[in-house]
Amino acid sequence: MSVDAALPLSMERKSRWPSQWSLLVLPALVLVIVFLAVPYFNIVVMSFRQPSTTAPYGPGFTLTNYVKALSDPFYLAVLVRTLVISIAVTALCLAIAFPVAYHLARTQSRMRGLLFACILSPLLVSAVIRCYGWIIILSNNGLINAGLKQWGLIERPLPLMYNELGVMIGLVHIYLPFMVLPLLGAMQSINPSLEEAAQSLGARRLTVMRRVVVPLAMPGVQSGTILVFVLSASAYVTPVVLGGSRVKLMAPMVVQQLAETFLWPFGAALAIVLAVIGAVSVFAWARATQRLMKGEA
Amino acid sequence: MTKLVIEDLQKIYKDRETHKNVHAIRGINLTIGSGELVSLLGPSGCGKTTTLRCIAGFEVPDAGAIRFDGENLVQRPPEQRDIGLVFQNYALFPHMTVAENISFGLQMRRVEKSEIRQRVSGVLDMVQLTKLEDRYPRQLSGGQQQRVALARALVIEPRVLLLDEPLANLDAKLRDEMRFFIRSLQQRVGITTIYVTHDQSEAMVMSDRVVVMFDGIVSQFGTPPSIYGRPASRKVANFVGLSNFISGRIVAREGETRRRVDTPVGSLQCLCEGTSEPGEDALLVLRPEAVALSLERPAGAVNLFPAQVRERHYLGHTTDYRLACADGSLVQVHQNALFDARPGTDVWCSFPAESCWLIPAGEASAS
Repeated sequence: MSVDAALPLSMERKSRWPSQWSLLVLPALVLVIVFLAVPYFNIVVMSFRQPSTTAPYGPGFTLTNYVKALSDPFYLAVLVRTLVISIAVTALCLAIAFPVAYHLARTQSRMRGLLFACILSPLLVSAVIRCYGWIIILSNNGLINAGLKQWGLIERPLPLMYNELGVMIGLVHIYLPFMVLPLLGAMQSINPSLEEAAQSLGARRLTVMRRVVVPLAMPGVQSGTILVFVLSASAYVTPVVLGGSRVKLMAPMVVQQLAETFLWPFGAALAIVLAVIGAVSVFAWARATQRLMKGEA
Repeated sequence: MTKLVIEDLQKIYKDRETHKNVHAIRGINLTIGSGELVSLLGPSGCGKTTTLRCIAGFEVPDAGAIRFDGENLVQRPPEQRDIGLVFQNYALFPHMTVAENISFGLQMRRVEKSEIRQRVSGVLDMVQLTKLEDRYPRQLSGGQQQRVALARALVIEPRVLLLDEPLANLDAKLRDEMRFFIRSLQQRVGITTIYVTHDQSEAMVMSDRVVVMFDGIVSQFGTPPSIYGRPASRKVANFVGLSNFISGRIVAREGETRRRVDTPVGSLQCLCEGTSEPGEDALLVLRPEAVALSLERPAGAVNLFPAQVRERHYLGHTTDYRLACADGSLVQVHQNALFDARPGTDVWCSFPAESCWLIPAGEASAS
């Protein structure tokens, strides 16, 4: 009797709960639609418009913005430079972060917390202040050049900033945590006994790394590289401050179109080109590494 | 085949919190014959795993030697020791198939591809896992993973096989099966094997000899019957199976290895090491299944005392009785189900001198 009564009640409750709970998603959904989807859609539409001097864009649709973005050697060079620097920054971050993450994942030291704080420290300072810190170190009269000059190692200051090198130094510094954290997560999930098993079977340390640790850390490598690449490709503050006017990259270029030349439709087209190429390369990279993980398997 | 000798092995850890030195193992000496299976048995923290890790090369001992056929390996890294290792969690490479897992050690030894294929299929045959070579570890059951781990360790034809609680993660039935599987495999291959376990029945079933360890020291090293029947100390007797302890005083020698002991339940004859003399205090170990119960006073029993049934617990293959002796002490006795006595019944306990073992008082109090 009581069982019969309880059954429909519980079923009813079960079916009613999800719809109630899903209402809680609404604020986030509204936020995304109003502040992301709508503006993004607007940018896409704008990128097909004529420029105008009296309004954000003129009437009618055109492909000229994209033709210009993809055929003008100047803008193509900006695009290529952006991709090359992003790939280089990603590779440098990976090379630096891998040993650090491995050490953090395996260490028993009580300094582990401190090390962890050091890794996260670039994120504690605002981008602008961090970049001005780098200026103090990298500029012609900065710490490094002054020091080298003092010791008589150089006569003219080394060009450490207002070039690609300066941008890369700044980007590697700020995005290193985004590489270390996913790698650390992946490495912590590798059971140390796997490494011992490989050793007992005759593998040296380097072989253990290559055959066991690296393949099993691939999910971390994948998400770390994607994060750093995407962030580097769309970086604005660091290229502007450490690259100056000589190193032209995509994100500053887009801002320039919007804020200085007031070619909003062309700026929109540049932004869309960067977003699409970024998305395509991330997708291709994810596919490639996925295959690599299976291939190693 | 390899003879393994461990000489005065010591390992000291620094405790992270107290900064005190902790002796994980303090002076272990073992000589393990070629092709022998020896179990390291003891509670957790007794140093058995540390000993194994020293042999494997993952820990560097603070003193002592580990010799394979006379050659000291202490300075050699793990990858140059030629050891087969099976972990409690199997430690199979999750990103490699069964065949790739097993080939790994052969690849490290630069064995030719055709020979690798041959040896992998040979060893898969041996552990009865043919047709599973292309599976990934996660697609296998616990027992199958266990056998892959064994195959991976054995295919390199190591000098010594080390097993670290390999059955701890299996369910009871499979564990029972795998004991015999591992033992027969080990005997077929004839490989010198060290088997770490905290399960005394596992150690009994599988080993040629058992090392019982407490607090980093070897308490007893002997065959399973000698460990069970002639425990060196109260601690060993307690750890290996159930026992009744009866304390008393030796009153007479009755031959080289027999003594008469006065106890609260009466005068008993028992076996001993031969060094115990009349006048000394002693502790008698009496296994529950060694005692025969009867309602009538049996004729011609060497050791005999009356008792009263307090509790009776049916265990299936046997019945567990808790008896109260004349002096009030309790004795635990296992009888087969044919004997039946309700609580309150007066019974006679009898047992031969051979199944009562004397531990000298010094060893008894050392526990």
